[in-house]
Amino acid sequence: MTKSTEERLLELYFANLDIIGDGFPLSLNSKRRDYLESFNLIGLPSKKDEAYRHTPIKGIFEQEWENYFIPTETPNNLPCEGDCECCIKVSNGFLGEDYRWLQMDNGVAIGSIKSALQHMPEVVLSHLNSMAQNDTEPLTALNSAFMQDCVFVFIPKGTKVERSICIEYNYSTKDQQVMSFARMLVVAEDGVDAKISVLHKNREGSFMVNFVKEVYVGDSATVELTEFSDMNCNSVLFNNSYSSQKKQSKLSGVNIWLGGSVTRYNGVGEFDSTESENKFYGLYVSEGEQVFDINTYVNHKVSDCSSYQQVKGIAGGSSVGSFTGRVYVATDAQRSDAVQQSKNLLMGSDARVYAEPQLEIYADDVKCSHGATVGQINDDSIYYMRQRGLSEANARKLLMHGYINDIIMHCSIEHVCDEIVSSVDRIVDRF
Amino acid sequence: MLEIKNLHASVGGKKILKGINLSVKAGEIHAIMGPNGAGKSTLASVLAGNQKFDVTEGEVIFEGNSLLESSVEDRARAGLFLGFQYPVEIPGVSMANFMKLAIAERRRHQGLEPLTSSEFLKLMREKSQVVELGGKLMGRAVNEGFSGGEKKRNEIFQMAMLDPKLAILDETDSGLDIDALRVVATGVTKLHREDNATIVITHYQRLLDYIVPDFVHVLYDGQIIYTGNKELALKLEAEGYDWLINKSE
Repeated sequence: MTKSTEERLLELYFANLDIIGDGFPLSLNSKRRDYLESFNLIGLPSKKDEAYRHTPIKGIFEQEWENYFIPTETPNNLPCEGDCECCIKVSNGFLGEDYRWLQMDNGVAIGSIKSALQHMPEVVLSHLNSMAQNDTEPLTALNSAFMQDCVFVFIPKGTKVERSICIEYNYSTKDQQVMSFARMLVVAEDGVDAKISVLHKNREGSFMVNFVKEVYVGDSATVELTEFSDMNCNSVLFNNSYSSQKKQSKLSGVNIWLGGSVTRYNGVGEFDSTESENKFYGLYVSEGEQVFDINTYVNHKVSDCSSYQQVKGIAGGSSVGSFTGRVYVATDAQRSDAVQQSKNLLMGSDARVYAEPQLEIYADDVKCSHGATVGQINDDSIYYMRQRGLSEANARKLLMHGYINDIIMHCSIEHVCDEIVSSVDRIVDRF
Repeated sequence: MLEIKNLHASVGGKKILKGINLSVKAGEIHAIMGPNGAGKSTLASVLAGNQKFDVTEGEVIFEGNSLLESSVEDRARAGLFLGFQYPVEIPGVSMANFMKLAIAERRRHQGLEPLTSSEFLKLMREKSQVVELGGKLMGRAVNEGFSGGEKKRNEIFQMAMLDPKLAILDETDSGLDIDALRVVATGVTKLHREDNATIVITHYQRLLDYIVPDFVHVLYDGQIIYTGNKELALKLEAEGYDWLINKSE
């Protein structure tokens, strides 16, 4: 009898148990079995699952993917292109020796989670897996079981970080197809003010990246997080992102998704204390037969918080773009203010776009709105611009840039913005 | 400068313009008035090259060249400007960026080098004063979130930047309060020279208190039924169009 994909993954885990758990304390390793158990119980979602109907997860996992249990490539340690406070590079999910542990004068620390467990075990143990939904999300549970290395970012209480903290994940292989369980944990303590960029770059080889990110934002802390993925055309990226916000905190996320054959983003934002603000800006640009499946969930479980989500898409060729967003407002979450918008441009005659903004409200004193648009380039705008002397092609280009700029302008990390703009331009110019 | 001969145009098979004849020379200001549905905005759109309208007969000569064969952008580059009745909002595109590209195209047509950044900024500053438009609008997206008055002022600002030979202002006065009307109208007057011309399409005489036309034309049912001087506008304001319409029928 042929084995199921779940069984094969379980076998892979048990065959490599020692190497996976190497360097981690028993308390962490013992939980891995629980995560694996929950993964096995839920199983890999199929297209029959409502939440996964646009992402062929089962089919993707059924392909042959090799897993690197030991680092095969050394991250390039060329200096970061931008003006960074500190920069860390990750290769196929692993940090190189140079990046084991970097601590700045202002107390900001960045490095491998294994080093962090030596330097500040309490911080790591109290936050790792505290946000990730290991009992309900099979891909997250799978990452938590297999996770070997993890980027840890720590910003101590009251620290204002002038320049950005840059994390670059590189995926590169000459082998057939490789899977990676890259991971990240950010702890921004009370009163912090910081900008972080997370880049996923995949220039060579086919990858299935099952990434999990947890971001903790303490009382009155302000964090801007820009995440940009640009994957190879045969690669798959599952991005599972979780955040937890404390009182009067602000988290602003700019997310740009490009490339890859399938990109699934699953973002969960929790307000754990009152008077906080969460902003989420997202953009995908698809072409060919790419699939971008963007899912967000904002949990207003306490009162007086505001959330703003704007996700835009440009779908060309015969690609598929999907946005499913849910804002949940609990009974006690009075005076919640939530906005959710999905805007899409259809550029290909066979492209498809699905938008499902959802509100689930149990409190009675709230301000919530949601909306979705799917359309084409506005002819009146083109006419207006041509009347000022622009050619039709330039008018279209400028309109699309304007459309995109609406999202990118919220990223204040200059060198990352430049990189995003040039990558987006490359695709848009083909439309 | 502009010669319109027996111009006929229709939209979706419905005839709107039924033989327009109009001659505009450099240095002149023409006002076109007329009741709703007479074809005033259609005339403006047809001259600008809006492809929603089909020209079925006639010809238009602009600066010695036939206008009807050229594209919207080529007409604009040759110096024809249309001030829109409903300016379009373009999210994410800043006024400065938009104008920079537009001016580069206009200058390229004139065989001139593009402006340097500092020349361009100087021009922006200078021209924004024509319509008392604060610099703050320049960083904002084109017309996005602008008030009705700001949108119309922005049209005149663009006209000032592009320095057209012929400007057609399509109901620039609609939706303006008295102060904005004064600013917009004075702006147009300031831009008027001996070597350019303006066609003002309007419903109301009050705009013509500021912009003094050399000719006032009455457009009715797709034709110019009467042409007079600025006194005609006053008479129309007082007596309406009926006396003219009755006379023409």
